[in-house]
Amino acid sequence: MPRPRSAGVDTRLVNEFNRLNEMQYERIRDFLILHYTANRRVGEPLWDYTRSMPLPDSLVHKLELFRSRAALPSHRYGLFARESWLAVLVGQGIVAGGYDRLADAFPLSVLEERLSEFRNRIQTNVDAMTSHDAFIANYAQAMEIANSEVAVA
Amino acid sequence: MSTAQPLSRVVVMGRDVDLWLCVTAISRALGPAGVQVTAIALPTRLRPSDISATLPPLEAFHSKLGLKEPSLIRATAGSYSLGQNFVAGFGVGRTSHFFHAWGAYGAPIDGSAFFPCWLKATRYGLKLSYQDFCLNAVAAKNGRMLLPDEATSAFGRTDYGYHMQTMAYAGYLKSIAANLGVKIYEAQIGLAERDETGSIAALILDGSLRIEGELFVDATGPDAILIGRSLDVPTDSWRPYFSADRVLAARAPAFTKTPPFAEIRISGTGWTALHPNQAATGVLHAYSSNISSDEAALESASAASAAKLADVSFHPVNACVRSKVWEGNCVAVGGSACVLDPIHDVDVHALQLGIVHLLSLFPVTGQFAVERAEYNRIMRRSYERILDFQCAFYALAPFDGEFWQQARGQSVPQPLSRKIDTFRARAQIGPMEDETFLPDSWQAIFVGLGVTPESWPPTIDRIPPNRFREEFHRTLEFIKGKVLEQPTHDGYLDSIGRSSAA
Repeated sequence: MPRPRSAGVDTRLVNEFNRLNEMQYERIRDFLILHYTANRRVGEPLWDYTRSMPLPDSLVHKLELFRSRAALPSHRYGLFARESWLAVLVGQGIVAGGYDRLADAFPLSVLEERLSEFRNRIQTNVDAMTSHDAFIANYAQAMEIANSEVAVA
Repeated sequence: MSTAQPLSRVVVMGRDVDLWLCVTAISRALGPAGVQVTAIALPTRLRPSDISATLPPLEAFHSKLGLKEPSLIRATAGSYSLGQNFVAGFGVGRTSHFFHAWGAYGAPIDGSAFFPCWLKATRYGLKLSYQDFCLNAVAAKNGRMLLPDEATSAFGRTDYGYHMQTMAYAGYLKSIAANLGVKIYEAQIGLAERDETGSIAALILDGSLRIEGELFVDATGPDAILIGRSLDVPTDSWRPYFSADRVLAARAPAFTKTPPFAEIRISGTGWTALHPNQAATGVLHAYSSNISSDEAALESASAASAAKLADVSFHPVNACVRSKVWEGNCVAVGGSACVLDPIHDVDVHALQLGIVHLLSLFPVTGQFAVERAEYNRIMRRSYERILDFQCAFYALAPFDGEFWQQARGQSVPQPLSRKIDTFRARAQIGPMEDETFLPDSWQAIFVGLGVTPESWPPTIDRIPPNRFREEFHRTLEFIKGKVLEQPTHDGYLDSIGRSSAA
């Protein structure tokens, strides 16, 4: 038979909870700090400070990896996925000096062709979409009809 | 050398699988990126009885390298392994056996993981074992292969490893490397010539031929001729974690029907692994020199394998990890980077990890301090997670006998203690980065060794008992039907063409 659940708090679970929280929160924290430290607003006290403030080692490490070879954080467990990191690292104007060597396996012309193909595909897909306003208008209307039908029934 | 120039000359010195898997992978992945690979092949240390037992991720790695599985299986007298069957017979306190599968156990029930559901059901009287719900385990017990299809994929993971003749595997990789254009030199010994910065400038082969390079890979196994002997990078000993410090390797005759799994037989003085393939059965016996002599080990291994052993050899195992696996312009992969305990057949996988991470962090130019630091960090963590899994087996082993008593008295890495605590408290496997073994494996080992969690995540208490019954029934029926559809392991080996070596 199952044992009765103990009334107290199990310290083993407390330890694991703290470990997981620390891991997750530190990664979120690094991601948020990145927005502040990578800025180009020179001459404004707040932004001058955040640009030069001391950073956690874990963020310094992520920045070094990106600067040297455009590598993104390799962790599996984190709220923000690699795409989010890439968007902010690039968006905040951090320049990668190198790149992933495996990219050299393709000639430049092939890369250019694939990338422009990719961009065209996105554009084609976007063009085929309804506008946001039209979608909301239709969606709201459809919901109203559905609700009124429920009311009638 | 200008640092802006792309780094293009890699020299790998080593022997056997460490060398040939490494040069094949670098050449295949980076040859098109302009990287030239030179292999310096030292004399082999392999014996005809050596069998490489591998973990499931090798299959995907091989296909990236362009290796064709049927041809590999034929060339290496290979066979498939759906997991490891642990058997504790008489004389070790309790007879028990459990299957550590390379696949999923059960399927989620109403969005909740299967394991706590099974656990709760056993507390309320369910008599079925955890492995009864594992497709791999049931197929293995019935001598069947397991070919994935849509239904099995929807059910869960059904992976496999291989048991290959190591000599043939190394030869197979070597011929692929040669076809890829890897320049191969045979040498008795290669010594490093250092430049003024301490980096390796060239290797001098047999005192004469000089081979220059920009990046050097040490694939010389535990000898660690470059990273250890030349660069003096020390190792951190992992001896305090393990009871076994010697292994016996030998060959037993092939089984009449090739079992699609490895079997680990527990005795009071150690364990004996049988790795069957088409040509023979590889026998590995791990023991402790302060408990058993080599003669006693041979007796134990013969008794455990119930066979006449041939080609018997004895080897020390000195578990350790290189304090830095990338130093200067020298990267250590495989045995030169880390020597692991023989339990769970992790050697080729540890080698694969070293190669894969090297490829993903391969320098663009001669400036690679950041890559080096990251590689050292990731590899150390990856090896430590394997260490945790191996230590779990010894720390929790419930068997009688001097060897096991000694094993239980060894150190336990702190992340492992925490993992065991969490499992005991709540039936959960705490997630960690860079794990080799999936939660399925951890649960299989914990449950198999008799660790019983005290509670389960309360979220499963919302699921009514009849849902458990329905799902258990459905799963068992599914497994039964699926296993019956499968070809026998031998039938499947026939269908891809028997090895000429068998």
